[in-house]
Amino acid sequence: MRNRIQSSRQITIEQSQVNAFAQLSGGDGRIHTDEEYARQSKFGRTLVHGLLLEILVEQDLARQLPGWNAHGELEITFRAPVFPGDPITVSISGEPSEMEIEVTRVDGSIAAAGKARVRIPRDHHDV
Amino acid sequence: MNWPKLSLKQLSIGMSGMTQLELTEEVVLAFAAATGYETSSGEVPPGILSIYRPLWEALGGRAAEGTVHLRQSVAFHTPLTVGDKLDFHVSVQDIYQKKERDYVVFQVLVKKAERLMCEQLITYIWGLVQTSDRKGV
Repeated sequence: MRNRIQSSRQITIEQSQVNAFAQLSGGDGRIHTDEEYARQSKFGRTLVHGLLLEILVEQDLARQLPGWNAHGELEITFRAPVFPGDPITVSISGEPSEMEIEVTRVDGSIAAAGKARVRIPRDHHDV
Repeated sequence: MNWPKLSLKQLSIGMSGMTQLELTEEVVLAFAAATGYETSSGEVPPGILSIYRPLWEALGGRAAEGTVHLRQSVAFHTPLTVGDKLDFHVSVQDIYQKKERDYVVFQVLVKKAERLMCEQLITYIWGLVQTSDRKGV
């Protein structure tokens, strides 16, 4: 039975959340947390962690796909920076066996894209 | 934690390490708070396995300043539970250059005892982001 899923939400990640995620995750590189340092880089601003974007995508996948926590697979490529304070849209679409993922910046450009699926459960052996 | 920053020269294909992480309720709640992840009671978001900290601990150092996360693939095999004690097995799978950029690929296998919980492949562009006052890596 075909079961098409489509979900889209707009999010704004503030610098305070980037800082909290940096401290929690160990991703405390200066490009994420040091605004003066970031100003001197080619980006000119601090960056949201790609990993944080991935986790936000995973949250949507877990909500929409039963079995995600046990059988989910995801591959995502980060294509363009996301800056704190800038709105982004997280979109997932497709069927559980093949989902498209997209994180879009406010200008319509793609910040991250990839694919996800829920594997058909099978017996697996301990590694 | 003040992990030393690893230069590309300090990495080699096959280099590996291991660390452990216990998914205490405190850790799970801190993750949920930092990510805005809404969970039901007792549920552990599998994304918690993708944080950088175990990678740096296993390697004994962190990515060079200016390193950019390019790609992540992850496969979950077993749901997580509060109280799980997990082993993170980290290894350098590949190092290559492309268009004057240095790429490093890590494999992370997360196990509970001998049971595979999650596997990841992570690609970084090592030391990519420069600032005007940096002399380079």
